[in-house]
Amino acid sequence: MIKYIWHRIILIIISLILILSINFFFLYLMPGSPFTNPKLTSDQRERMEERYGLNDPILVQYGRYMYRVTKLDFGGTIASNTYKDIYRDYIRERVPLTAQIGLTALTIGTVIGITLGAIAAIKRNTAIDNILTAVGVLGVSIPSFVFAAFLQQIFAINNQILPLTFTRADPELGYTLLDQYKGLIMPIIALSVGPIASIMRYMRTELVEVLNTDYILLARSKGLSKTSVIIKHALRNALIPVITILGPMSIGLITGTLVIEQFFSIPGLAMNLVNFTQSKETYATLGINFFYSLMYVVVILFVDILYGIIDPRIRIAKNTKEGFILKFFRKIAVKMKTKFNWGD
Amino acid sequence: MKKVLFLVFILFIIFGAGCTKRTKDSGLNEVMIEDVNVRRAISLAINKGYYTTLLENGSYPADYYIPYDFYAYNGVDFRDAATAKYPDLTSDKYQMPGGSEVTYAPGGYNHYDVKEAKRLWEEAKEKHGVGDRTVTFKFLVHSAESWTPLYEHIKSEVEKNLPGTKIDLNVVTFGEKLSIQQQGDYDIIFSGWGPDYQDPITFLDLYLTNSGLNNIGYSNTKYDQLVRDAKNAVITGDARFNALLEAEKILINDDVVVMPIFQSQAVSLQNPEIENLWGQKVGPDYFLKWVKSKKSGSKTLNLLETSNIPDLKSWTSQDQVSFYVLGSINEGLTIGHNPRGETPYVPGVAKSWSKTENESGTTTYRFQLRQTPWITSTGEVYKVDGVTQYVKAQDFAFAWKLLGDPREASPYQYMLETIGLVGASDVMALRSDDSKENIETALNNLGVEAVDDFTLDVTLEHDSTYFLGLMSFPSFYPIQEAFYKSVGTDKQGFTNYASSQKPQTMLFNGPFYFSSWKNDDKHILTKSPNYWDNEAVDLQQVVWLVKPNITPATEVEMYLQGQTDRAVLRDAATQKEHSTDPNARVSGSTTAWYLEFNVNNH
Repeated sequence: MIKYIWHRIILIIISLILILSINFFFLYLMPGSPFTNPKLTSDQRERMEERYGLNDPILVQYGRYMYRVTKLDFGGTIASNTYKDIYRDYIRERVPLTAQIGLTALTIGTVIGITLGAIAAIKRNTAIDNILTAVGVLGVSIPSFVFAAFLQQIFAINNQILPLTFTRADPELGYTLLDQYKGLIMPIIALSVGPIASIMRYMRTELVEVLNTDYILLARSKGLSKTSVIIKHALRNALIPVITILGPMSIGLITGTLVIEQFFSIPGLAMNLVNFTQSKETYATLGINFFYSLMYVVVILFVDILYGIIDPRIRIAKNTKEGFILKFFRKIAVKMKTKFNWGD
Repeated sequence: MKKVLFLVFILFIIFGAGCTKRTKDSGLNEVMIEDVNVRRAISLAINKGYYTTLLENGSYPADYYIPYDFYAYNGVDFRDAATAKYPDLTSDKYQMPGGSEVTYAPGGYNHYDVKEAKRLWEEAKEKHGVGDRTVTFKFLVHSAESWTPLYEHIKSEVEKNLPGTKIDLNVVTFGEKLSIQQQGDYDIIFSGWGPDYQDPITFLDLYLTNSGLNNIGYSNTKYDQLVRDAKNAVITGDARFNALLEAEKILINDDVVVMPIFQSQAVSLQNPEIENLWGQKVGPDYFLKWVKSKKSGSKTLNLLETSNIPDLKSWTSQDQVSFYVLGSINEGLTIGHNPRGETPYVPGVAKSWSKTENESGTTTYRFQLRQTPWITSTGEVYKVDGVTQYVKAQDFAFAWKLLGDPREASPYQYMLETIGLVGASDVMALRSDDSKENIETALNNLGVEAVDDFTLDVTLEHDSTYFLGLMSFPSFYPIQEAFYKSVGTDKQGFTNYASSQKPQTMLFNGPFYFSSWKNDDKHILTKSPNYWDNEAVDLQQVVWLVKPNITPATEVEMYLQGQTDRAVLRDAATQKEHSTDPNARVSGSTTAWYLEFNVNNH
């Protein structure tokens, strides 16, 4: 197992270098300049580009950037002619808050989703199942921002129970800690609707399938009670696909979603990434991309280790070198697929 | 196999898109756009009232370039003077949309006239032997949701009113637009300009033959002469004003290189208990020194900002968000006052000044500075070895040299030339890779000199009416040299002065000091206990909630719930809903939006 993890970590480093390089060259191909003040003459723009080394040949810039990466400096913004480090001024500040919101939403989503999915599967083809399925379809198809707007209208505009936007606590100015947490309620609810619905649907489908297998029948015929069969045998087997989607889902939630950020004014990275890409902040975009990719590969690794814990057979299958490389790429493919099918 | 094919397909698309260049057509468009009558036909063919009616925010449909309510000479607005000077050309006017305070927009040149447009167009087609061919004009614009109806309107008006034309709308990001603009791959481009100082030269300067911003390659000797003479104070008084009027007429009416579209306005809702929040025409949007709060028991002004502060280094700062803060935490030789009153600026750090004409033709201003201390981010007086540090003449000289230093790459470096500072053109010519000695020499030759600690001499090539007003512009604020050196540089070699979120890396000399700077959260300015004009400052605190992602509707809702004292109506929906609110205010903005024709840069 430890050898396996080591192999995977080396692969992760190689893929991160590849990701950074490909991103670098593609971003370099983008037209335009980060300095978009219309009042700049071309002379001045050139001078500013020179200041940040944007005039150098691409390979020089690439080498310089990679050298900086080895010193754990992943880039920063330059457009305002003031250098802002991507880690110090953006990631370090924004990620904790969005992660807090995202992970809470994910936890709520997983717990409620699994419970409701299990209930639907056990009560298959009853009124409860039908209602839950309908709710699930609604939850998946209504975009989270519609839900966010709805919540905001009811709880912050019609009845002013919850604050309109999130504001950090500041007792001197009259913003209490309670206000800060109140500000998190609506975004968490709006964010957790998607996970609840999709996890519920996965859970239901899988559990129904598992409940129909022979080994469950065997367990039942051994005389085990229905409850203990479901808890001890069925749930554990049905969880594997659910864990597969949890990986990409958690990344989506931690890094933030554009619309929820906008609606509740939560400072997150999603908006930054869009802005940086549009304004050709090559180095800042690379920094955020690196962070996203890092999260992604780490979560994939984590999910794989989880697989091993849940299903010991998967560990054995990966003992050959070719086997795990193939599996690794296959898993990325599967995860890309789930990622693009899911979410905003 | 399928996957490999898919990958090949993707790569093909990516590289294919990168390699194909927009193919140029026969060049007919270039010939046509270089004909003044074609440009006039296009100008006459577009109803400019359409978009401003759509906006419903007090924006003026404009047949003019120099904005209305921007510059007046002897109490006569530039627009009124233009109408008086050229009555035949400027008699037609747009009716303003309902609900506006004024009935008619100011008059200008080439007013909407489809019949004349068609006549000119047919004539030009005949002249150039166009026949049945379609003339395709490349129209370069930057992508922005709110502009889309305008772009579509211009396209449809031209295609409808000038038979045989096609407008090829090229929508790109702002950055891309700038690079295409330099390459010249367009016939018509959508542009805007906000003034830097209160004089028409800030607009007319752009189209001088060798101007760095004259991307359309326009050149007219008469125009150059008029603008240069007015700029360099070769002519003054009535003659200068007349020259400015004539230059604008040449640009828009005679040569039709610029086609004005509208003068934009913004509407905001404002708490009626907040007074004297005077919008400035140039420099910082507001100087919070003058603001009075009539709120019971509260001297706090609550504002909302939709952007974090990009750059508080006064010598490189270039955007309105930074200027808004800078204008209240630091102070120049003068400070902006009520732009609609008698005095657009009043004394700041300089308590008085005198002017001498030198024999060599230059002008020297001698400023006497007040004894006003530098303040730290905790509100205390800044001391070195127990000695209070006052704002000194040397601090101005140091800051202006930073502004000129090519290694700082300041976007507003040209302000030195704008005020006509002696030695500015040598500094402008410097490159950052010039030898250190060359750079130092040029900077030391700038016409700014500390005679003693509290006397500053500024020597100008020529005097101008806007010089003293510009002394309230953030680029000219002082910087304490010893403190600047003490904060050091970062690993990139750039100064740590005014580092993001670290107000302790700055010093303040304005009515407020920056007590808390937290991105995406709050910016707090606190009244300075040691400001020289403390009695005039009414506010105790200014709190900006910083919400970069906020939607326009939420911003208004926060105002309505009393969390902020001001909300800008930032989209059409909020404007429609709230522009009739009794507390709605039109900004009085003087930004011009127009089309430029590529006359000579294909």
